[in-house]
Parts: sequence; structure tokens; C-alpha cells
Amino acid sequence: MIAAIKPPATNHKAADVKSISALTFGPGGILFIGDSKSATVFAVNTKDTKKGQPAKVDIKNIDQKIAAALGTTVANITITDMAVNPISKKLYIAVQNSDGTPVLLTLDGDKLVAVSLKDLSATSVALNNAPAEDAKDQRGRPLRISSISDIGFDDGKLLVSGLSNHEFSSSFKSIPYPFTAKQDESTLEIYHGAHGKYETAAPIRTFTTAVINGKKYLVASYTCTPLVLFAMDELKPGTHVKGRTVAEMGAGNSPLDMVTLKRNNDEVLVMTNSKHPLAKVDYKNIASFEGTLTEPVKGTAGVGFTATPMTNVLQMDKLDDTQVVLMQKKENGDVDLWTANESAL
Amino acid sequence: MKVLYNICSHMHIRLGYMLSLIFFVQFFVLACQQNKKEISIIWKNKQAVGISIPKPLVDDIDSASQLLQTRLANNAASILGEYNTTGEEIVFEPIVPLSRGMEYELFFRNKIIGKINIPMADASGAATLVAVYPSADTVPENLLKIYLRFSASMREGEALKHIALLDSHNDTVPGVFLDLQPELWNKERTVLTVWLDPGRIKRDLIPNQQMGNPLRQGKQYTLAVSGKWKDVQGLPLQKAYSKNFFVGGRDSQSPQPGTWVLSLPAAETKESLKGDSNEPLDYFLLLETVSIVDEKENKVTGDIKVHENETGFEFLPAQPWKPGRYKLRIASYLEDLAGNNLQRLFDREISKQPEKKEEQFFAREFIIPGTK
Repeated sequence: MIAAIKPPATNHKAADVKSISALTFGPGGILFIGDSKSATVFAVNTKDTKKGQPAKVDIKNIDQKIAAALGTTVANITITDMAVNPISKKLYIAVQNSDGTPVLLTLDGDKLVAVSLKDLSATSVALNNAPAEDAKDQRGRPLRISSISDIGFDDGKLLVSGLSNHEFSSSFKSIPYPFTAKQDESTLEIYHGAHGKYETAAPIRTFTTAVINGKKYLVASYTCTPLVLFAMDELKPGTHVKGRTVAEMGAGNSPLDMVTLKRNNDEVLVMTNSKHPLAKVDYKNIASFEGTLTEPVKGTAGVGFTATPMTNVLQMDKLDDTQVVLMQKKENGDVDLWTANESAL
Repeated sequence: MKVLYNICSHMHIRLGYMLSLIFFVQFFVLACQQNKKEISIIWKNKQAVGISIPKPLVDDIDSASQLLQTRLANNAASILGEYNTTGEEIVFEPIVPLSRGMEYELFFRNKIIGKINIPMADASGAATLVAVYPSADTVPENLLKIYLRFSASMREGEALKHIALLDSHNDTVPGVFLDLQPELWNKERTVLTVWLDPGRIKRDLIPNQQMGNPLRQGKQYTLAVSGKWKDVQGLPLQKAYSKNFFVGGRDSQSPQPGTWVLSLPAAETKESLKGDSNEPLDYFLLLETVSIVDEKENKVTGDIKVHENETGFEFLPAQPWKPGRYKLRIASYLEDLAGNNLQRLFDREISKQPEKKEEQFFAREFIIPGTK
């Protein structure tokens, strides 16, 4: 399905954001906001472009502090995503109130500050698969929603993975940024194999990009748990792309966030999960499977991964090449925000 | 201010007893409202979107926005929002609406100047769970998703705390539903899509090998929805809900619209066109994938209704049918209850099934003959 792309409104305000499902930074302080409710990605100019140094953060009970700053209790809020501005190193946190109101906050030291979306300019791109004109043809038809599961920015392109609330399919879009009136957008159907016997389409839950053996890959994890690699140069509009399953994260689990960190001269994929502990995969091990790229991995486990003792990491983003910012629910129920080196994970 | 408020309240009470003084009392109440010097709630769409602070409570209007603070009762943190001066009041607009059932305190120069309680919403307006799809009492072993439809907008993010699958002994079956954040709600947040863990349904994935399919063939289950689930107004559902169902065999076939039984309407009438699909299909996908086009490929305007137990559709035209050739068109992403669509199976054996040519639609022609 190729989406109908509306021409971007270049001068509207970011106040049109109806929900914040995913955040990622692009170039020059541009914050991409994935808005599932309006099936749109906004590119918001935060004007936050002053170079900053990565600073250690350690805030206990961040959820309670956010709730108090919003005049409510923890039960009434959901922290939906967070992202570090790679220039200023400031952390941005997206929160949803129980009535659905989206909130964007940032940290000034330990202090929570509201980012007023109505004061910021933005451009946007609509992702809706069912154009409104079509929906009018027949009455009583609910519009399909493409929930945005993750967004990323790589090499001048905004990457968007989506979940449909109706059909079980993979929706992945690569959209050049800055947005133009005529979008050159690719929608892909991605298949991944299970041990060479079955192959399925499934929605991507989270992804990142990485260079493996000098070639760029999309590293994606699915709602049904596998970790799958796709060569970026094979992701072309309208194509049927097959990926290679390299690991499975287990049952009842939904992958949450992925980042790539440096360890000496090597790189490590760090992945957080809803049920399972934070996992680490050495890119060296992934690279050693390079020879059988188009074939599904044989055997049951694929590339080995290290399950760390760290559980219940709710949110994670990269602070710099070797550190992450984590929001973690502790055993006593407290939700803390802190920074960690790769070796401490 | 407190005194004035008490007089006004007292007058309200006296109103009931002293009918002879009704005009006097009404006049007095009106006077109270006009000279209102109480902090009050600003409502919009049943939400407390702001607090009105009378200017006389603040002795430095120019610096009011810096010196005023609104806090949750017994909490030192200042609530994020804006203070704007308009006419006789200063309005505090928090960045999210104030919460029902909570108490707030206003401070000026760190001294308390007033308190305000946000009342609970009227419980009679609480949401109910109006439908669960699939609605049939038998589902395939590889059932992929369940839709819950509510009468009002619900709170997001807590669905799995309130949904459980019980076996025939009334024990909760663990790990059946996929924990997905954000949850899959429609725009109005009245319909939630819940997936049964696809990692357990897909054959040969490790979760499937280790734990097996979430549903077992030949077994009886109950889907239980707790009455504690809250709507956006903070009110719990009017009542809990449960639905019993039986698990049948695995569905490993794509829907076959070519075999559907069509009941054709007569020309020059507004009779419905009926399509019987022989098997239950996805309720919402049926609504959006089925359309009728005329000879010139123009869509025929009308309403779609889904058959009981989602075993087909009924198309009611807005205008009487004209004699001629038509096409029933079904978008290929229509799925059955196991996530098999017209193009592909939910999981397919690579060795057995070559890829079909991608078609966006399935089309089936029918003719409505002219009346004699």
C-alpha cells in the first residue's frame, strides 16, 4: 500500500500534535515527533542548538516528579518516549495524560521544564494509508490507524515503522527530510524467516541502523520477538524485502528500544524489552553471519545475545557513543532516571 | 472571602425553606455571583482546564505570573502552566487538565491564598463495554486479535491490567496477550485492538516451541474484563464483562471471496446486496475493505453492515440500483480471525507456497438485470 502524502504545511505550529508516540532528533535541533493519533510525523524546530556536554543524570522517582509537575498522580500519566538532543545533550521526555493530552518536557539540570509546542514551528508529513476522500465514499467506515511504533533518522531520511490497529502487517517508510510537497516515499513489505521453514510479515516494534562489514543495515525487532537484519540498499519502494532473523528474544515480550554503543573498537547493540531483561548483541557476531545474508538462519537461537540482569528498562536513548540514559522501574516500584556506560549495563 | 461564600451557601439552603422570600434571595445570590471573589474552576468539555484567580487575592498584578504557584495538595512541586491576566481575574492554565477528585492549592509569594477541589465526574456517564469481536462463540486455535468496543473514550496504557483469559477452571492463562505500548486504540479511544502473542502463534518461533499456542483446541475459555478499567473522565466501567468461547481447529487458509454466496438485489430498489463469507472475518477490516463499483469503476455510495458473527456483509445503497454490471471489490488486506489475508497466510511454509502476484484488490463481477 502506498500512502497518500499530503503536501507539508511548512509554517504551521507544532501545537497541532495530538499525541506523541515516538521521538527522535534529526539535524540542527529538529525533533521528529511521531503522532499516532493524527498519523503524522512532525519535524519540530526546537531551536535547541547550543552545543552541550553529556551530563550524568540521576533522578529518583522521575515518574512521581513528572506527575507532580503536571498536577496529577503517576496512575494518570504514561511516559511514551524520550530522546537526547545530540547537539545540546538535553533530554526530552514525552508524556501522555490520562485524558490523552500530549506533553513534551525537557530537563534543565534536575528541573522539569515544559516545551511549549504552540510556540514552535514545524513541518509535517501525513502517513495515513486511508485518505480521507476515500473514507467519505461509504458511510460508517472507521478509518484505519497507523500507530507509529518507532521513528529514526539516518542519512537524510526519516524512517518510520508502523502498526495498524486492524491488519497484521509490516509498514516501514523511508521519507527524505526536509519534507517537500512531492514526497519520494517508499513503503515496504518486509518478511522475515523462522529457521528456514516459515516466513511471515509482521510489524516492526523498534529499530536502529548500523554498519556491518562496511554495509549499512536496518536492525529491526518485531512484536513477535525476532531480531532481523535488512540491507538498507535493498529497501526500495514497492519491493518485497526479505530479512534475516539473527536472534529471538522470547515469549510474551515486546522489544522497546535499541541503540548501538561503542566498546573499545567494537560495537554493541543494546536492546530493552517489556518482559525480558536488557540484552546486548555483539555486532562482531552478527557480522560473522554475513555469508548467508539471503538465507534464514538455521538452528534455534541465531546469534547469541547476553541477557543482562537489568530488567524493566522502560525507556532508553543514547547520550553519546558510550553512554545511555535509562528510565528503569526498580524492584520497589520506583521509576528512576539515570545514565550508564556500556560496561555498566 | 470565606465569609462571603458561607453567606451565599446559607442563602441557597434558606431558599428551600422560605418561599415567601424567594425574590429577595434570588437577588442576593445574583449579587454574590457578581462580586465573586472566590477561586473557581474553568471547565471546558467536562474538563477542568484552568483556575480563575480573582485579582484582589494578589497584590502585585504585574509580577503575578512569577509569584503565583499552583500545587497539588501536600506536594511542594509547582504545576507547569501559564498565568494570564484577563479583566478581573488571573487565569492559570495547566499544561494538562486538572485531575478529577484531587485537591489543589494556590500560593502567592509562597503563602497559601486558596484551595480548590475538582469534583469527580458524574458516575452515570461512565463507559460500558458494548461489544467484543470476534463475536462468535467459537474461534480458531490461531486467533490473532480481539477488539473491545466501548461506549466512551477510555484511558490508554493500562489495558492488560484489566483483561484476562480464564480457562475452564477459572484460572488465569498467563502470557496470552501481547504487552504493546502504545496500545492500539482508534482515534476516539473507543476501540482497542489486543493481539494474542504472535510469537506464540507463529509456528516454530522459539516462544511457539516453548510455550505453544496461546489457545488450545477443544478447550473452553472466558475473556474477562474488569469493571475497574477507567474512562478518560476517571470513572470506572459501569460493570465488568465476560464472554465465553470455545476453541476450534487451526485456520490455515486465506479467505476465498470467489466462493462467497452473493444475494443480489432487484433493480430500481434499495434492497441490500448480501455476501455470505462462510467463515468469520475481521469485523473492522470487513467494514473497510468491501466496496462496490459500477461499470465505469465508480464507487457505489452506500452503507456497509457486518453480518452477525462477522460471517459476511450487507451493502445498502444510498440510491436505487440501476440495471447493469457491477463489481464487488475487496481490498486484499482483508483478514480472517487468524490474520490470513487474501494474499498471504499469517505464516507460510517457504517450501510449499510460492508468492502470489501482488494484487491490491479481489474483484468479482455481478449483474443486476433490468426489470421487465
